[in-house]
Amino acid sequence: MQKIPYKTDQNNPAIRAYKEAVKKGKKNQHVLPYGEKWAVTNLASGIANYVFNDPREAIKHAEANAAQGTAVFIHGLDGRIKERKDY
Amino acid sequence: MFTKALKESSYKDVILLSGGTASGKTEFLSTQLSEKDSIIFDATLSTELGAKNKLRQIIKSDKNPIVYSVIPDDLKRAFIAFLNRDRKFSDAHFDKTHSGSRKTLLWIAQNYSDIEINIVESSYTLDEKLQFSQIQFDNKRKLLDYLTSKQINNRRWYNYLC
Repeated sequence: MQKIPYKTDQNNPAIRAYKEAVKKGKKNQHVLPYGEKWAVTNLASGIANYVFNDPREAIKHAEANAAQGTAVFIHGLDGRIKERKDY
Repeated sequence: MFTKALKESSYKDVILLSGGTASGKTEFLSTQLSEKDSIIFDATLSTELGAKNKLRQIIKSDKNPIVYSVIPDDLKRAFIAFLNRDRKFSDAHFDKTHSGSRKTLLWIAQNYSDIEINIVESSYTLDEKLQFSQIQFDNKRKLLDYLTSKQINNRRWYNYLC
């Protein structure tokens, strides 16, 4: 197996839009089940930034720290997104 | 529209894009395929039935189907882009298109030995540039092994989030 890279124009509008979506998306917060507890994470880091026993506390924390123009995604026990709150 | 393009276009090649939502298909098309003398169908190919119908139509029109499948190296990044971009779809849609397109691609490789399949990996460089690489295989067996290893079920990827 061999990987041959394409030369990709980073100024192409579609590429710029994709990168912008990723950049903005990394600022969003997710409230997720984390074992028996609940985590607040931005997904991008791959780590639980904060861990709470009660999901309501996790949501409260995420909402209190949401920056303008970002969103808080609240997941259910099955991992599916149940609610999105925009700020 | 697809049927109309097959009827009216003089192009012989028909490129079918495959890959889950926010995998980078449209970005790949826009930077690498738009100059090609081909009909290009920007789809996910997330069901075997849909792919079968498309392939049948292309072959019946006496044209040559070529598949380009865009597979992200990191599903988390694609998910982040998806959530920030495709607000009208649920996260179930993300799962469905990614697992479905990979399943369909394996099915095409197993059932249509004559069809050209191009595997393109979308990835980020360390300085956050979106790049594409064509993955080349020494033989068909290796391609099938690769596609088998890329199958995803039951949101397995979700466990990697944190």
